[in-house]
Amino acid sequence: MYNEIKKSQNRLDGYEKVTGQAKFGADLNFGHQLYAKTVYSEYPRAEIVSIDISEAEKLEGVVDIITYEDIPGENEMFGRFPVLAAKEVKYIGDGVAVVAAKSKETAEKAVDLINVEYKEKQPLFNMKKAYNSKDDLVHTDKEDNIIEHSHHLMRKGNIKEGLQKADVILERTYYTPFVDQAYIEPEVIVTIPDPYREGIEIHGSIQNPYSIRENVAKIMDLKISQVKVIHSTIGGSFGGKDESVMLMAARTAILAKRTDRPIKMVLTREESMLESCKRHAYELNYKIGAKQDGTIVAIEDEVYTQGGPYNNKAMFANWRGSVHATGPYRVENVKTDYYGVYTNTIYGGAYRGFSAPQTVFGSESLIDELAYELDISPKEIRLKNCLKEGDTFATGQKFGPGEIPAPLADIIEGVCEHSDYEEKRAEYKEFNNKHNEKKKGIGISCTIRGAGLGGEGIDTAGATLTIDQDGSINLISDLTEMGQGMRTAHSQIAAETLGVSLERFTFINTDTSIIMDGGPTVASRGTLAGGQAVIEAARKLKERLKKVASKKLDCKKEDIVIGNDLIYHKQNKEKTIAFEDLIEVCLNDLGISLSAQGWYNPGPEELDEETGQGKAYPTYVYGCAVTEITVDIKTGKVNVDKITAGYDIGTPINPQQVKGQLYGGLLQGLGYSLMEEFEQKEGYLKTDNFDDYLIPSIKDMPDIDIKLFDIEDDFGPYGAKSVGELGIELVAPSVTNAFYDATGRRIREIPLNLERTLLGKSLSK
Amino acid sequence: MKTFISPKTISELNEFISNNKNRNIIFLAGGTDLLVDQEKFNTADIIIDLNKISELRNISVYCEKINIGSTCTMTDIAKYKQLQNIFPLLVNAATNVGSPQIRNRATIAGNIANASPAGDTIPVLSVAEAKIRIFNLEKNKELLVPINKFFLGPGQTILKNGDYIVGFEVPSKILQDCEYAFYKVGQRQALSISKLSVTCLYQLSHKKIHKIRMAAGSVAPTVKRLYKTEEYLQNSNLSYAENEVMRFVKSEIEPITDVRSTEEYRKEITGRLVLKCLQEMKS
Ligand SMILES: Cc1cc2nc3c(=O)[nH]c(=O)nc-3n(C[C@H](O)[C@H](O)[C@H](O)COP(=O)(O)OP(=O)(O)OC[C@H]3O[C@@H](n4cnc5c(N)ncnc54)[C@H](O)[C@@H]3O)c2cc1C
Repeated sequence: MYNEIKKSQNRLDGYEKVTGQAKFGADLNFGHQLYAKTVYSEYPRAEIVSIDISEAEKLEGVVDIITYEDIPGENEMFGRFPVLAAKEVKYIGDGVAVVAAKSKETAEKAVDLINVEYKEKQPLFNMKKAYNSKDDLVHTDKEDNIIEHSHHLMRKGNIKEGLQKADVILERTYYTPFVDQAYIEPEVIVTIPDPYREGIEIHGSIQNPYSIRENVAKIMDLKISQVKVIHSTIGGSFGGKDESVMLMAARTAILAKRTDRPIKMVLTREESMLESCKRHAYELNYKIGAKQDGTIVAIEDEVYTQGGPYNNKAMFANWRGSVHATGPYRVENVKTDYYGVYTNTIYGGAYRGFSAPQTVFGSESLIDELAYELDISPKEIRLKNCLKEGDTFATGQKFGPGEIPAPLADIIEGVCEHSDYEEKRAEYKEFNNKHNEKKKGIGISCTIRGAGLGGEGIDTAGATLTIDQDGSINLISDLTEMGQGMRTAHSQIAAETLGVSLERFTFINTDTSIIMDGGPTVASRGTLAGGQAVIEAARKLKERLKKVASKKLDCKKEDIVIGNDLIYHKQNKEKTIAFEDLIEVCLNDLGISLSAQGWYNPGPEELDEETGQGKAYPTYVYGCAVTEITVDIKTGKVNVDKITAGYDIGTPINPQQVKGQLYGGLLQGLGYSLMEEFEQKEGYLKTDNFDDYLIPSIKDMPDIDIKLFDIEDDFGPYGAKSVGELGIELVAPSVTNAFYDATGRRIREIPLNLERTLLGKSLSK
Repeated sequence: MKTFISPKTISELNEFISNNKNRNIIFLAGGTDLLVDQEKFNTADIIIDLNKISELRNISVYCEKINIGSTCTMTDIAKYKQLQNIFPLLVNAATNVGSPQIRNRATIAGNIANASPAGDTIPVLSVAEAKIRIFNLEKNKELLVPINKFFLGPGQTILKNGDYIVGFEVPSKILQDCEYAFYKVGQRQALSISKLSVTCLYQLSHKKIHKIRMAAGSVAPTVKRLYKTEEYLQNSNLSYAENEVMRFVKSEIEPITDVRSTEEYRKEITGRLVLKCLQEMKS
């Protein structure tokens, strides 16, 4: 029995957020601050002939203007992003110059006065063309347009022999578009000169403070310790507030140092859409071989992921993709290849799911197609092939007791029963026979997802807990709260471990100068890895408290129990001391440190780079969704009526937050399925604000029924695994599968907007 | 320098306008279009806020006429009991605009004066053959203009500098005799600018189409009355040829491809929805 976890406790920062009291990055203002604005490229690809800033400099109120010549250190950051383009612009979001002025309006005017002369070049827009090109290169120091370290592969069994054993082979290609994270708060950076460190202090909407610190130090030619980054309260990120804020931090840092004044840069929505990363656009080519009875014998796939001109994520996302390309199924013969490709377009990066929304759309459409080809129920074919005890994953990892749990068959059965899947399929068939204007359909999809970073990097995390005189407890994590509820989950874990109540906890925004870098806040690892560090810190404190209590209560340390804010002897309840009193003894009488650090280090995962075989992730989470839709045959409109889903995410530390994460993910997944897509024309964005880049509204939220399967898995803190990204990925394939069920038409490219469902093609295609 | 004023009465307003003939005047109602259109905002010398003039925010029904004041919001219209009975088509259109926040601000005159081909109340007032009461500065008096004479192009109307909309006059007899259909096609359930819309007002008698008026939105530079299609159907006994109707509809509209939809989609679906209206009449 737990006291503080597995309980839907309110968020620690909830009240401030819902009452509008929370201060976000844009609310920060410092005396004498200047406003910075970037001059963006005018062409998707062009040589920069000259940059004339003389007119802008003359404008009253302009304090400083920088170009690539003013960068103190290197003009290249992680992912090959230049702070400002030097010789060539490689896409329309490249920055060429930055103005700092006394007012926003002046900065805007000055930007228009900067005259850049370009020599246009023929851009590379098409991913496959770029992939095949050896002479037309986005980066001329390379031999091709394949993003560095982005080719990841998986080899298992023998693909040739596997395919020969098949009774049927299907070859299919699926496409997914670039999409935006669409957070409410656009990017903000406020940088102030720091005279004590002779460095700089950076605030803003920053998902990963440590990587920003490292990159800014590099371009400023400063020591890492001279750069201090503190993230502000963040209004959503989903992976997005990373590259764009890195560029902003770098540009404002240079200006802050030169002018010796605070510099504030707030992106407009249009700038945010232009300059921030998108979910990579994919082309997934699959070949699947199966026996007549539906048993999969081989899967071969080649996946191309569009990166734009720069990229610090394709190498990681493609690795994750390559592990999951064959889905949650037992496949003895696998050949997978993922390639990231440079193009002169907007660029790919992280957006909730990190390869999964694209890959799962491909693999779950594929198995559905196989089911219909073989005339087997989509549910049965999944049950037949899904990973069970004794099976091995594409990576060679084994499932079973004492190893990785394999609960998917139970989840599929549970979700199908709960949603009356087979009954509804029959019912909708009947309905469709009688109705011509409206068709109903039901679709299913399943997933497996590696928890945490896995082979992308070591899943380390750190936390510091400090108990103050009055018994209040401050929690510092090196991971970032972006609205996902991590702080509340961490505090619940700490409260549970310490045996005290949640009300005691406060927290701070992560500050790179007071806690060590434990890695980025990504890969749904905030609870998984961060929670372990919190447990360790809490255990250390508990030990210290017990030691002092045992002296005070005159008994053995082992007999001391801390629970419900009391410290007592486990048999003799008379021997007791209140938490506050014990703290006072520790601090005032004995001078004991009540600050402890926890550090979690699971060690590196072992992987064979030649085959992809090995321990890719320490454990996995699972999900299955059944989606019911209605299609208006006259207009092509798809209405999602209901989603029934089941997940194994391990122990839900806070069930209400877990469901919140899943609901939000499902709705974003719905947008991905039905409407979200960047319109691009010749490298220019045509949809650059929410009037034409549509995301679902609350009225598009279908009826959602979620069941959590809390499967025993002791890997994470109190058995918790991952949930942050899981919600999105099941929606698109279950919607397209339902669309097939409803209409008999298979759509292999999302979104299923009205034009595509009706005419088979979208706006720009 | 820009001037901003908030007159409290119509006479105060008219006097001010007459005294400032030569300056560039724009009117601010709910601001839901204007605040997005920075360019228009920036070119103005004088911004006149109409929201304080209570005389402009009235709805009344008498003598077979509905009068709607210019600054009535979509919410005002949606909530006005009598309108729900006699002009449900307008109530329906107003209820489908944007979101609650937008409907609380967006006014009917703003929707008309903005002259967007996607304006949702325009096709409704078109088929109702409403008259627009405008204040004409040159003549210094109010004029009644039939709605089909009002629009000149996207964002363009007959209003000259200093002219404004006072209100709308809708003949209500016909509304009570007719039935209606309204289809708005958008990508999502709320805050959805129309990809296209079809509005139809009709009266059947003895299984014949006695009266029919149709208008299509977002498929031409202005909202389009489908006169030719109407003529073809008028007095027909519902045994029209579907492909003929399609042909007429398609010949009357000139949709374009933009970020919201494609020409092909708009043509096809407008035709289909007109047919859907007709099917509804049959049943
Ligand atoms: C998020 C969002 C969603 C929207 N959704 C829809 C939708 O679904 N359907 C739809 O049709 N529209 C929609 N709109 C557009 C807009 O809300 C409507 O067109 C609204 O009716 C405009 O009215 P307003 O009072 O806000 O006009 P304003 O913005 O105040 O004015 C618009 C124009 O009309 C002029 N004007 C206003 N009143 C008068 C007058 N009395 N005489 C002369 N000129 C006048 C102004 O000078 C200006 O040029 C949406 C807008 C937004 C921002």
